[in-house]
Amino acid sequence: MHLVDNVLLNIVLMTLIKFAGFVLAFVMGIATVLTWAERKYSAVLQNRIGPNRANLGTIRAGGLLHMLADPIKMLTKEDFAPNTPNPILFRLAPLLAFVPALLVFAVIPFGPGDNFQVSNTSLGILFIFAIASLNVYGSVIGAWASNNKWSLMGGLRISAQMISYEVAIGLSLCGIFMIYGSLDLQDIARRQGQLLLGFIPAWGIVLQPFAFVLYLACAIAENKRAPFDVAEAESELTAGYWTEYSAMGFAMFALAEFIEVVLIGCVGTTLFLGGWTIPGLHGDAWWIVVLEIGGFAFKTVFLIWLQMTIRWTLPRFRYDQIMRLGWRILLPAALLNLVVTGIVLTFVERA
Amino acid sequence: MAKVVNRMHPDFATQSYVIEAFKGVALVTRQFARNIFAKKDVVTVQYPEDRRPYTPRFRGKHRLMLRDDKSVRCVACMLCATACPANCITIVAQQIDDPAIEKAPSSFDIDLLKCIYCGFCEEACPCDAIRLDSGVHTIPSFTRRDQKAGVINLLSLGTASIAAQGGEHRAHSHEGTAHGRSSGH
Amino acid sequence: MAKVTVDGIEVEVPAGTSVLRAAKQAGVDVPVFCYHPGLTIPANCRMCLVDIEKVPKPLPACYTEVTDGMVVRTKSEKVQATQAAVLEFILLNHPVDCPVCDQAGECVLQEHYITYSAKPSRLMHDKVGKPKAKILGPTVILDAERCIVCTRCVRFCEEVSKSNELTVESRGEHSEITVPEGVELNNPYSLNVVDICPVGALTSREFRFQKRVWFLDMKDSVCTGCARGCSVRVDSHKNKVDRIVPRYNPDVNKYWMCDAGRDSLNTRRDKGLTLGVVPGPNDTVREAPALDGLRAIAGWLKESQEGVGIALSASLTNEDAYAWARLAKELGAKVYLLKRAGWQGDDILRQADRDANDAGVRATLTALAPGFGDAKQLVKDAESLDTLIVLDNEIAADSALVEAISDIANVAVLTDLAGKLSEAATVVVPLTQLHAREGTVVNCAGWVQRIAAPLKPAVTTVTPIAAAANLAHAVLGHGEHALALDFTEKTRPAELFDRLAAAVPAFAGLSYAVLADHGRGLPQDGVVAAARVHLNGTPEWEPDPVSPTYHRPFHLRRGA
Repeated sequence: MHLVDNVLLNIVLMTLIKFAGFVLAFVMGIATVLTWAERKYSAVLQNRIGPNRANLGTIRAGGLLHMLADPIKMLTKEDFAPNTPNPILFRLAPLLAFVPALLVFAVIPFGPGDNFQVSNTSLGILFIFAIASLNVYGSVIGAWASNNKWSLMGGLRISAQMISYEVAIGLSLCGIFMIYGSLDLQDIARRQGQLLLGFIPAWGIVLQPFAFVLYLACAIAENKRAPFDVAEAESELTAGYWTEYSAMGFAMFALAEFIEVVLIGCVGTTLFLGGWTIPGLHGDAWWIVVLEIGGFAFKTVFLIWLQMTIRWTLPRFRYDQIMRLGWRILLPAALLNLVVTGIVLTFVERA
Repeated sequence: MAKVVNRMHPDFATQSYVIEAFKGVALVTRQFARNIFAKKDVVTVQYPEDRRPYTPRFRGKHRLMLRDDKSVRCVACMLCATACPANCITIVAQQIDDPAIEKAPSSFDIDLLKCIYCGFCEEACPCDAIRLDSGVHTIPSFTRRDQKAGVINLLSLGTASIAAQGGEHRAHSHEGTAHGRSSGH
Repeated sequence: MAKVTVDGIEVEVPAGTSVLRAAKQAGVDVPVFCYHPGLTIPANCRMCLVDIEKVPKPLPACYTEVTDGMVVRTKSEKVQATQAAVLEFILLNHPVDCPVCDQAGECVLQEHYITYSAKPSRLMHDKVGKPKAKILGPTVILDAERCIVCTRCVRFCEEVSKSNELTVESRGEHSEITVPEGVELNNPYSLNVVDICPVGALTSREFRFQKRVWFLDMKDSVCTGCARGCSVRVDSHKNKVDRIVPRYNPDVNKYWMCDAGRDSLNTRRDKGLTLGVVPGPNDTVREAPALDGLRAIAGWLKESQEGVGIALSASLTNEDAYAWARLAKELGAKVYLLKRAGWQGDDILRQADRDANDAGVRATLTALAPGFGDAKQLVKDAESLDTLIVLDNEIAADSALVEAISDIANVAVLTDLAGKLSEAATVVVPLTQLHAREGTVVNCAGWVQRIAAPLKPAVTTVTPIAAAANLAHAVLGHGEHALALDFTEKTRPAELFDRLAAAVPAFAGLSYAVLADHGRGLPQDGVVAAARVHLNGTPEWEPDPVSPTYHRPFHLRRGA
């Protein structure tokens, strides 16, 4: 009994610590910085100045304090609710969007070993697909409960988009599983640490470059970010599914989006950029582990930067274009990728 | 001549969008780097501290110009009131002692709520008496009555004008000659 | 008769006609400055020079008489060059201060310059200076620099007013109009010189600087200052009359009107009643709009025991007199005709009788209220009356009349001006002011004309017709007496005049429509004489070709 207690305590405690260390500090940290960085970055590349007014006395720090000012503003603003027949759903929706986004990080390997993964399940990537897909319920329920035609149309667009791209993203990643022969993310990351022909890192992006492009496109589409942001298309739908949200409701939707940006970065890193591994670097020394975690963070930030740049580069697709792209281009392309991978794998194994 | 628009016929690589998207990313990144190191492309004006300068043709609140002797140039000819499309100018004329000028406004009211700042009045004015070049915006007020810029208001904005035509001051004499009057008719 | 060809158009005119009038008959305009049809012809401005075949030099059209077979050209190159040269000469010393000149907008010089010259001045020297803003008399002010010395004003004073105040002093470019020392331009017709002045040299001291003429709303009307009833034009802006100027009417006033007629404006300006007086509780009085006063009068009329008197002024219009005469008949009231105090008449226009419509009201009452009395009769009858209604206040109220009236229990005065009688009255009803009341009047010579209403009436006032209709409705109800009345509060004088013409023999055959413009004479033996006004040819017709009439080149006036 005592032993059981100890083990349970150990597991719960360790999980909490890991959650706090990786998810709260790392993920939420980056997401918070993104609220400022997104605006500042877009401003600079558009020949503007961007947010620079929040200050503590004379300290402005280039607008960095907006990261603090925005939460304070969001917390103290009036939380307006429209005249809706579903007030409970209306309040629940932001949580439904926010919680799954955070939950997904439970299986991301931030470093080598179980110590750097909140929970190591052999399900791995399937867990990600399962939980990340729940995210859409938050948006759709919010849209429905807003009692607003623009919101509803935004919600319809999200659900259609989600269904279309969920298929393609799953198929695009199947190649990776076939190559590495595992669904366990820790496993996949470790195998990417090997070298091909002695000098090429066995990263997913090297073995499955086509899949990487498909993954990036589908992931951005699932996150409803430009150029796939028809769900909140300002020019057509006011603000889409979050038109009626203000204060913390809005903040949670927005934060969920930024967390998903981080998630796409983390998953992309794990599956295509070698995860925490650094080519040619093996061992259990503490400095190697630190380097590996740093490497993971660096790769994640790179993918986040790529998403941000794509957002501020490409114009929004039309809704029908998105549907056509999803069903008629990405899905066949993913299938083709799968078939070719299978054929190649067969020959490689025979050889 | 009609303008010929050359339609684009993109090749497959362009149509596949992936390469073009990354080209775009490169372009944006280049501009980002350019702006982060040298801010010469930045066009934002930091409003309360910096202000965009008014153009010379900016039309703000009206002012009445003065002659060199500080009397108002206006001779109450009402051409501004005639030209005014908003019907916002009310002038009451009076006779003054100087026979060379004869006529001057005893009150010159502009209803700034009606005024549309079109500048027709300054264009119609033969004496260069009214101008909209004070550079002052209409001042917001709490009551409609405060919006009326009476002759006092206009006078307080006036400065000696350098324009020479119209209503020039001259000593009057029967045998004397009319200097400065336009001899064209 | 002589056949003349003007610019290719052949006309036949009586021998002795001037080329100018022959051209007019042919529909050709010849520009003039000094010529005025009401004055003698000096031919000094040279603006009307025309080219006549077989004559080497251009001749003045105003002074040259036609001969049979004469061929006149008014648009030839020679004439155009002459006209431009004459204008350049006239404008040589003109100050061109149009922006401050009151004549701008109705200035003959401006119009001729734009039409016939439009060339810049070539003068390289200083202009000749002359007196500006020189006061000639109580009414007129002179700007000698603007004067083109056409001498119209001088001729007017010699020939029409025969007072000879004005003269031309000096010679050449130094010529100027002036008054001799110790004399001032102070005759009863002095303001006519302002009207006939083709430029802004002579201006009215009253109208000077008050209004730019292009803002004015011009309506044809009739002066109600005396029994002459001069045809006038009433110029108003923003519901305020700014000036009254004479209008050509060959049967009444030719081109002129007297200063007193114009001055009627001042006696009424800002003095019109908008609120009357009614008795309040406990012997107090209070100011009240017209309808309150009429209600009080209706109360008296219903309770009247002894007798009701209605005193009409001879200055009312025919329609007002008609309405009140009909009301008096239905009420069984006695009718009296009161006169204004007269003044000194003259043999030009002014009549000693100051009532604008004595003939008309008399004719109407004779037909509708036979046996009406006068002021003396009213004094006699006063004791037998318990209610008296007086229309119009400007009547000769001598002490006997005031005393007699003060004996009457209930006295009501309907008026647009406060006066002696209204002070004595218990009820005062404000009438619509003069220039907001339409109607017709008959002058001393039996000429019927229409009064126009350029102004909007104040809402608290009432017209005499509406007052009569209101009282009829309140007192008589819907009974057969009320039905006998053929007008309501909304009836316009235009309709009422046509009924009047049917009911009153003196007006038989006239209608409101034919009275437009110049009016008509009262029918003689039941026949309406054709107006002496014809558009072409007859000797009577000669409107002033250059009278100051503002031609709106584009629509300037906004709002009222």
